[in-house]
Amino acid sequence: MLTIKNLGRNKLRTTLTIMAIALPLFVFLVTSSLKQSLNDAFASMEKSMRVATHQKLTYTTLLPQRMRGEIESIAPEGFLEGVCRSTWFGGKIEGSQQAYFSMAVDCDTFPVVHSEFEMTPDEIARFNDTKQGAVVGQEFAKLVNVGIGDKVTMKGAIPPFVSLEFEVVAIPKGLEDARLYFRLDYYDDVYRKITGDSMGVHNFWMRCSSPEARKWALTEIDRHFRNSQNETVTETESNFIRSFIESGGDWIGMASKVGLMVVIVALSVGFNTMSMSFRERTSEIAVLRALGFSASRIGFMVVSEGLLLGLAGGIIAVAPLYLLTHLREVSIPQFGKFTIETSVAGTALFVAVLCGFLAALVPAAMAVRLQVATALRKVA
Amino acid sequence: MPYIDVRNVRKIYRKKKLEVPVLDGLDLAVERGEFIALMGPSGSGKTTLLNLLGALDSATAGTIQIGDDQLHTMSDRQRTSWRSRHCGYIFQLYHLMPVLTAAQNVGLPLRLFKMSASERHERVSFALKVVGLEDRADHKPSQLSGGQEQRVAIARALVTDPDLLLADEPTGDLDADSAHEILQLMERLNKEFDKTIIMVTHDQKAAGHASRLVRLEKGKLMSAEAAAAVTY
Ligand SMILES: Nc1ncnc2c1ncn2[C@@H]1O[C@H](COP(=O)(O)OP(=O)(O)O)[C@@H](O)[C@H]1O
Ligand SMILES: [Mg+2]
Repeated sequence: MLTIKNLGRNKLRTTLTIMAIALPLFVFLVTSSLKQSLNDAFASMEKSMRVATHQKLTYTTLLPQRMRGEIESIAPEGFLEGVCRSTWFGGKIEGSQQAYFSMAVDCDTFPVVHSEFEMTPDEIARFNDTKQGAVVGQEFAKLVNVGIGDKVTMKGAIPPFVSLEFEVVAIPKGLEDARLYFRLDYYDDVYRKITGDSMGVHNFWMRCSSPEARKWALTEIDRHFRNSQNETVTETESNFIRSFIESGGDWIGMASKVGLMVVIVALSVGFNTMSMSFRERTSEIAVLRALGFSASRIGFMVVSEGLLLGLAGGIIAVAPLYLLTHLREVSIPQFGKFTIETSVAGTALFVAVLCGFLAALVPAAMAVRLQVATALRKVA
Repeated sequence: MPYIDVRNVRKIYRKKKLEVPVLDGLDLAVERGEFIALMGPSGSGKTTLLNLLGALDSATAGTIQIGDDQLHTMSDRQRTSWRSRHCGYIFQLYHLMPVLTAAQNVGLPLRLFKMSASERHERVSFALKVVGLEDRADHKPSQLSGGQEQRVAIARALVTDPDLLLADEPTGDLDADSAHEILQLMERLNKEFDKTIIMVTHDQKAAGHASRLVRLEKGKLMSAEAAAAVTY
């Protein structure tokens, strides 16, 4: 009871101490869960028969469109189910700063290469028949508030920054994210009119028919283009995404390192405030000792105060996200499900309680070793 | 055999290599039911002696017997437990827990004993009644005057019903009226409740409430007559 009353005494400091524990743990929880979710996603992609080819040195250098034909011609019969060119558009809706995942693709091979979107024959037919047609994800339709047949105008994020008008022709069952795919030939027409040149391609996505075919694609395409003007790197889908993310900096790894540092800093902050609060209470502890409270009993009191603070911090860090991800599905765009594993949540909670315990240890030892007569004299 | 029997007690504080001798072969005998006023110049060792009698500290040499217990043979642990059962300590600055109400402060020492909630409540109410603060049970120390705070502290010292009360300048921080109330209360505790009391005081008037006056000087106690002679 005294413990709880003491925590209530300096509410601001108690809150700060709890937050000093909760915040870094929250960072730790998010980054490690993100890492785990991504690794899960990569693991499932590993089995995927999809491979991607990009320019050897960067992800942003454009390759000529004609390379599709070249790839198709060198591939052994039946190895590639489809080659789909894609060019990043990064379109923004007029009047908004939000750039959407938007990509120009070949409409003929897109449904094959992205069979996981489960486009219906109707949707496929409409995409093939409508030059300005766009296939959008359910989240996109919701955010931009469009349905089949509606028009959307977007302005590209890369030169020549053209505005394109699309007509939504499909919102496939298997495409949940806020994405938009549209036809490369439409983009190319507009591009040509403005620049006089043919538009380039960022990637060639391919669906292979077998592990053997995939093995071929991963080695022979790059070999074919070696020493040409357009050297390539072909990667499995998981490697492609992984290295694409890392090309933008290993932010997850950094975040977890930062998180670790913050944990250490916060631990020392919590440690400091707790020992401060006990130093201020030295006289009270001395009085309790004078009344006959044993050293171990007071040590226990101090430690339980630390444990309580740690537990509170841990619950604040863990509970909201844990409950959120367990009560309803939360997904990260492009990667799929984001979950806080019970084991990770448990670890975070344990670390929080451990922080509280460690921070209380020195004050507890001080309380136990306190010379009652001397301590009473200091305050009098 | 007196109730309190202090023989040839020496207390030397050690500050690094420096030795500060405070009590130097002190003898003191107190009978049950006495009310002793302990006087002496500042720094003469009054608090030191009180701490030894209250088992808050241990003597460098000599023997201290209180009732059947030999304090000088006890370990730190044993002294802690002895304190909770045999003596009530009253400080100059009250030393109440600011987060607890008067009743909770008074009940604090009872947490060291197994007893039912109703018995606990009864004892707290009784102690508060003795000091005349039953209507302030739910007040926090910050809502009480100095004299009231000291009376709560006295109730806290009383609540376990110890034989011995030790008070270190209990009126030192109070105005004359409040001090007078406290002294009357101490006298009543001595006469009506048979508490043996040793009270440190600087106040000649305070000493008048006691049954005997002892004076600490140069590490030893002076005889009552000698003390009386020194008294102005
Ligand atoms: N822990 C200690 N270490 C060193 N000297 C001390 C300590 N406690 C008290 N003293 C010294 O012992 C002497 C007696 O102190 P005290 O018992 O508090 O005297 P009084 O209560 O009569 O004023 C003083 O000179 C004081 O400075
Ligand atoms: Mg003193």
